[in-house]
Amino acid sequence: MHASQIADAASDTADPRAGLRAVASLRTLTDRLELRQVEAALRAGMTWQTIADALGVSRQAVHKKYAKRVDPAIPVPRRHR
Amino acid sequence: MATFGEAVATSHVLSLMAMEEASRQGLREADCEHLLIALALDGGVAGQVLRSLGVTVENTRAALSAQHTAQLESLGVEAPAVEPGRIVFHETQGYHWSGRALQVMKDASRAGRDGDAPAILRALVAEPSGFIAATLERLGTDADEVARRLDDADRLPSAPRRRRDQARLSTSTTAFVPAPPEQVWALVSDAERIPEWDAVIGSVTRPHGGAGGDVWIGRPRTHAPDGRPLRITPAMRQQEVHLVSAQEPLSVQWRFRYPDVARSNARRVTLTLEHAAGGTHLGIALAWEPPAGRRPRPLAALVLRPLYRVMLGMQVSLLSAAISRVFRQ
Repeated sequence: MHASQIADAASDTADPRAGLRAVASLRTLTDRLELRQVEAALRAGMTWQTIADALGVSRQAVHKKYAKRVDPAIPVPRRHR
Repeated sequence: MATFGEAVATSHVLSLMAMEEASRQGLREADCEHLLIALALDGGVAGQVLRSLGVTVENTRAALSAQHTAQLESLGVEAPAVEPGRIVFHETQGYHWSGRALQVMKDASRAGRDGDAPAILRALVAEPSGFIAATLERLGTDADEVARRLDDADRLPSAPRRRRDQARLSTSTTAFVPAPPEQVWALVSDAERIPEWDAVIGSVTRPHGGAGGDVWIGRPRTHAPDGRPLRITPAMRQQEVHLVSAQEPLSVQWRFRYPDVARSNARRVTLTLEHAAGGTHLGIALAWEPPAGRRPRPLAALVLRPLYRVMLGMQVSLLSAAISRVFRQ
């Protein structure tokens, strides 16, 4: 998302109910994109630590959230890496 | 009014289909929109009401996507197109319901409501965010219209209950499959395509050294959907798959039996196909038949019957979901 689009988003508060519902859509979209990117990262051989660093969360958090949710066919890096 | 066994099976299949829909979108949380898709696939009154209003799976997927896109645009966000993938529910884990979808299901079970599919649909169209109502308007209908049609359906005399054959372990259900009868027929009448909808059989071949006629050999899956190897006892390594009858494109009956297991029950599956708006009405009958000559055990049968009823209801519902899944990928 471009900075200008974020500015638009922030500025449109004319209909807060619709705005809030739209934020829920955005959250769903974020969830879809996050799972997709985490799977892509694992397929590319990135470690949980590298993924966590890029997402700005702890390794434990990203591992707990995604270890079982990702495609089990992806060879997942071992814990100590 | 549904029996306990039927109610358990209905809610289980709605959950399953909603989570399968979430999984193909790359989500692990099933929300109200996935429940709407599951209800559009329902074989009973709820599904019939929705489809009669044009709320089919295909239309609903498109309307939900358009509603999300419009909402994001209202925020000034141009959403990237994220194409849905396959259903990966069976090979991945960590699925759960969103809080608001759980609330809808709680509302459907409150005093005076049944908690069955029509009750869930009533609660869903009234969910407080307005997202489902807005999506229905995109589909050319609205929440009130859905409620009215459900009221009309309530006033119709309910179909006479099928008399059950108490002596046999059998049950039946009707399901909706989102594909025309010819496509459903091609799937369910082909022995080699049984692995696409049977939970146990992984491959089907002709028996060695002969034409075989109406008999094939089914071999079990060697791996679970998530890749774990499955342990199979030697006696269960082959099933006899018998095409008992086929009347294109109306009905087909399969009989499955483990020839190497002494005294095992045979499983008879009868599928009937009928054209319906947007797809096929599928009748599924499942019967477990004891081998000839086994001594009946009336007391055990009496005690275990309620449990068997629930199990059979679940098996037949899962079978219906598996057949429709082929056309929901």
